[in-house]
Amino acid sequence: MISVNDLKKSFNETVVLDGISIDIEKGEKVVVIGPSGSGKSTFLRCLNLLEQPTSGTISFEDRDITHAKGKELNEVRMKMGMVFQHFNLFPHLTIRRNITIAPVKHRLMTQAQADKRADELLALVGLSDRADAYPSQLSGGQKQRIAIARTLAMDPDVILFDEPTSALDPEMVGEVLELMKRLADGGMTMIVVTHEMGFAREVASRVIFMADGKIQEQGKPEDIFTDPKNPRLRDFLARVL
Amino acid sequence: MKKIFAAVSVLLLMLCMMTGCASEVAENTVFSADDLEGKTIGVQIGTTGMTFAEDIPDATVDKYNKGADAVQALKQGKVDAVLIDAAPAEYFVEKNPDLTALPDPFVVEEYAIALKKGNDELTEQINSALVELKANGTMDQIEANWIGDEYGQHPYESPEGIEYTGKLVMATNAEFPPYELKDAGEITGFDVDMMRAVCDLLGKELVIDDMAFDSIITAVSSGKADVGVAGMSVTEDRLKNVNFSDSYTTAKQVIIVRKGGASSESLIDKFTSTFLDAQRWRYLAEGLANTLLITLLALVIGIVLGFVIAIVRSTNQRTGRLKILNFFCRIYLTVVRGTPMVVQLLIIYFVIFGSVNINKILVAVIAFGLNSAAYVAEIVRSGIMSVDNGQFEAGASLGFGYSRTMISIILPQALRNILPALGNEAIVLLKETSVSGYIAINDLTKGGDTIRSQTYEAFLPLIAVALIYLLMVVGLSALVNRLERRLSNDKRK
Repeated sequence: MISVNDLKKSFNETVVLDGISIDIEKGEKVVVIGPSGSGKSTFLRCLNLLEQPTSGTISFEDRDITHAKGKELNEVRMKMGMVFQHFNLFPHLTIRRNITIAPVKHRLMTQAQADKRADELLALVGLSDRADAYPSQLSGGQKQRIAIARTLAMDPDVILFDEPTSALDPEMVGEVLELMKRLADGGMTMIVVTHEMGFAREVASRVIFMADGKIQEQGKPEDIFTDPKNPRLRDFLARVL
Repeated sequence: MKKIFAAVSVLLLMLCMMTGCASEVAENTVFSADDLEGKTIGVQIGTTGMTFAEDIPDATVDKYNKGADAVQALKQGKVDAVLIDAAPAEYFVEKNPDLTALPDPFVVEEYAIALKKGNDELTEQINSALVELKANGTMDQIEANWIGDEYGQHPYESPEGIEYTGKLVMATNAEFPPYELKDAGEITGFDVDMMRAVCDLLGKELVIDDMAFDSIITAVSSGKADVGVAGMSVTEDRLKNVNFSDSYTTAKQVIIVRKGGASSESLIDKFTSTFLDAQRWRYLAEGLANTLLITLLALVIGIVLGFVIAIVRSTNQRTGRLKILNFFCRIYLTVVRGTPMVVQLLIIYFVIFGSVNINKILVAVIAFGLNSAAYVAEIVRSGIMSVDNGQFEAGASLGFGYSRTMISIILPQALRNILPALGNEAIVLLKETSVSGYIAINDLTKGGDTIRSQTYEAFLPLIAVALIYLLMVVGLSALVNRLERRLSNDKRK
């Protein structure tokens, strides 16, 4: 589904990604872990071209999208949802409008159809009673659940999660992870950058350990967590677990 | 609201007390032309009186836009004497019993009509018309009507049955009675009647363009007006820019000074003469309408153009695109924000539209609109830049292009953030239009000035004008506050 070949990215002189190659199949749940500054987020943001790669290629559904622009780029992003660390809900719109704005503006649905879909999604994320509230009236955990609902409204083929629980108070992390688990169980293709090792161990079909802009080790969660080969990974796990 | 009204009434009370116990005005010290040395002399800017005054040794020359302002300054003791043409002097002295003109003229001079250099055909036509008018007694009749004891008894009337072919535009400054003045909103006077008689002979319709005195020569030399007639005498400086016809009348420069025993009017009398006599309140009403019209239309131009510039600038700032457009926008902002509004207004009127005959209100709307756009642009840009970059990314991640993200997501948020600043800009713009008088638009400020020049009474017209501005600004602020509350619904807790 997604195929990355020798992806490199530098900001000015600083090399952030140093040759990443990976293939991700439909239905996979890939969890990316690693120390801060290892390039995890940049890697994720390159996938939907929020960052333009310096070199290398990215293919999505058998199409080279590395240099996609304009309409083509927008089409890619419609199928590749993203959930941000800071939610980035639209503060001037109600929760319902936050969820419906994308399908309505893209003319995929009428407002009425989108409203109906929003009601289903709000029920899914357990916030049916907050449809007419504004984002500022929600807690962090609720905001992130709405952000996920907003992404789901576009019916994406894959969702990128960029540290979705890092900005949350500890007591709210659970509700968001629980929702993500349900999505995973429903068969959604997911690429998750996170520090939640419990989530990685439980949900991931594959765990990728990144450091210094490179994939240092990857494999099934049981192998990664119980039998790490790479010394950097061993060191990292010793510190976070 | 209550606080504002309280503040206003206290302010008014203080002003009333200040005028009530106005300090004694100094005794007159000028009794002949020789006494002018070392004194402060009031003149109307650009007049021959000014030229003469500047030659008086050690004298300080205070230049006023209007003769009436100079006279007012004299009454208040700000200047020691006013040097001005005999006919207006007579008019001023008659209206102000506490002033007198010294019997000996300061100098005798001849008035003539200014024409564009090279316009010899019109010059000759006017010269022969003047000869005819002097020969058949029309000129004497006009002079008798305006100057001397039979004031207003011999009005000039156009002969019947004249077919007008074309127009003749006369630039003047209707602040120089009795040569040119405003009477119940109409511009009239010696020069106007004389030019009407000339035009009747030439078979042309007379169109009068009222402007500042020091703009008349420019208007004539740039072709904005065909002739300049405003009690002008021939000087070397003026001859550098325009030609003059033969002289049509002789005038003297005289010295006006104070005499003792100024009468003090009651506030009610002052109120009556300021607002009710000759329906003077109409100057304020008409002025207010023009001020509002200019402000409103300029605001529309300012906001539309300002948003466009802001979007160009912030797009460049965020994405690095639109380099060339951004370059021009930056030059525009630098120039507009780096020069005074009045200068911009004058440049647009006299330079850019110098040789085009264009509605002055329109010129003002363009000038104020272009000025306001620069300030709006920077306000909007700061609003756009204040929206978190995550909002752009969220828009992009949903498949929105840059412009859709801008319109649906960024601008609504930016607008909410900058509304107070935009409201403030509207208030500044409203007050800034008070310089419209520089291109002879009768805005609110000019309306008050016109009344002041007729009643020689500064307090009431100026306070009335200030109050009207204040009320409009208070209303505008209230409106902005309401809008702000409505738009900030999502900030409820």
